[in-house]
Amino acid sequence: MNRYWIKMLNLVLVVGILFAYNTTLEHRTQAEEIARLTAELASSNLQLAKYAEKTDNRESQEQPVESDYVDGVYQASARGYGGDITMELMIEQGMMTRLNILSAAEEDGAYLQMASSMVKEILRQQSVEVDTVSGATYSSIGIRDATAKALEQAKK
Amino acid sequence: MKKMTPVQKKRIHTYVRAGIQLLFFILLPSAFTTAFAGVKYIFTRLGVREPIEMNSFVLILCVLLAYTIMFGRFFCGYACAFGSLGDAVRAVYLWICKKRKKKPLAWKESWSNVLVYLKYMILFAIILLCFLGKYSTVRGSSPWDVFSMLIAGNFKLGAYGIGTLLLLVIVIGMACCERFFCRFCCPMGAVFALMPVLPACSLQRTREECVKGCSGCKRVCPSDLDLPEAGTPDISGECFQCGKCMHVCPKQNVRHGVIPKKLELFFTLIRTALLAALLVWAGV
Repeated sequence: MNRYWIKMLNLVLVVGILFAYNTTLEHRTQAEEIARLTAELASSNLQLAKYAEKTDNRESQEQPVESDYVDGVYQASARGYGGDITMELMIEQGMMTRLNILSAAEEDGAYLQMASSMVKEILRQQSVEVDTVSGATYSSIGIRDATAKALEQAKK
Repeated sequence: MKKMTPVQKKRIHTYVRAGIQLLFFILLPSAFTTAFAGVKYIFTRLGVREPIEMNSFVLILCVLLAYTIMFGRFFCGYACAFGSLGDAVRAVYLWICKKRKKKPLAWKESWSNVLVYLKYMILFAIILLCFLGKYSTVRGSSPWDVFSMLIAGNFKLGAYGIGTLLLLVIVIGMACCERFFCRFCCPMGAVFALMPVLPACSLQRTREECVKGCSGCKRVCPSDLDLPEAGTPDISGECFQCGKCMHVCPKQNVRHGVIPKKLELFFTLIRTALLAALLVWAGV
């Protein structure tokens, strides 16, 4: 009987601690975000003022970005955990703009879902050299390698 | 319908259980590693002071823990691929012994009483490594990873020397002692064993009605457990809900909490369906 209640109490404690931990961190990140945005706002006001002064003698800076890649849609596969993962990569104006997992039949659902956060990261960093998702290493490597191969095809 | 004899009931139960284990083994072989990946993820995040997100690993972990609190370790007894491997290895070993007319190696209960604590140490070591961010240094030594790779048809085990060796040792252990890995080594089992199990559906007996001096249920139990008195929550965290005790009892004195005896088979199927539905919903 006692053991049962001790286990119950432990469980409640652990869950409580994890919730408290998450809430604390959330508050902290919010506070940091506010501080960052405030600072950004202040500096952008400053820049705006400077920009208004200089705006006459400034040429348009919008030039097409130099890129090593040819626009188009590319596909490539690489070995994941249980089999091949096929990725589809779209390049527009030399940038990676879209990346999809076309097929990954042999991957386990939960692992693939964890690893698929790599897709956003690759697009954000415009590079395949991103960290693999810990716990889902094989699926991550499959996504990364397939994307790298697709990118290789796109090279001029 | 004709009433079934206890022996027939036992046989049906054995077949049903083996069938369920086989189905889970084929369809959802990675559920146990996924749940444990949730544990590792939580402690890795705690180690780097990052928030714990409700990702698919954590969701599956929560689902399985909630299920265990409700029904006991039914997952371990019926659905875990590694547990099923253990049962299969043991069954094959016993079959070989029978064919060759040799006695299986005797296992001493006193060994079990000590080894039972090993799994908590393994669990503690793994979560400590995760917390310190050092888990990747022991990656090649996980027998689970080797097992998962083998079922996935991936035979590049070059970096997994220690893991392969450990898996071999475990398979030998599985042959010598029923549920060797689950009882002594499984870190996920350690987590399950720490959960409180509600008495409403777990295995129990009414002591008064027992045959005097009979210890059939304890002898057939893979964990050598004494069943708790009906209505009390003293269910051991080591019980896999395998149900062998129900069928060995000469007075049919063992039951699942409030579940009527007649519905026992139905109850097993319901638990199976619920578990499968939950796992699929959680995205295993």
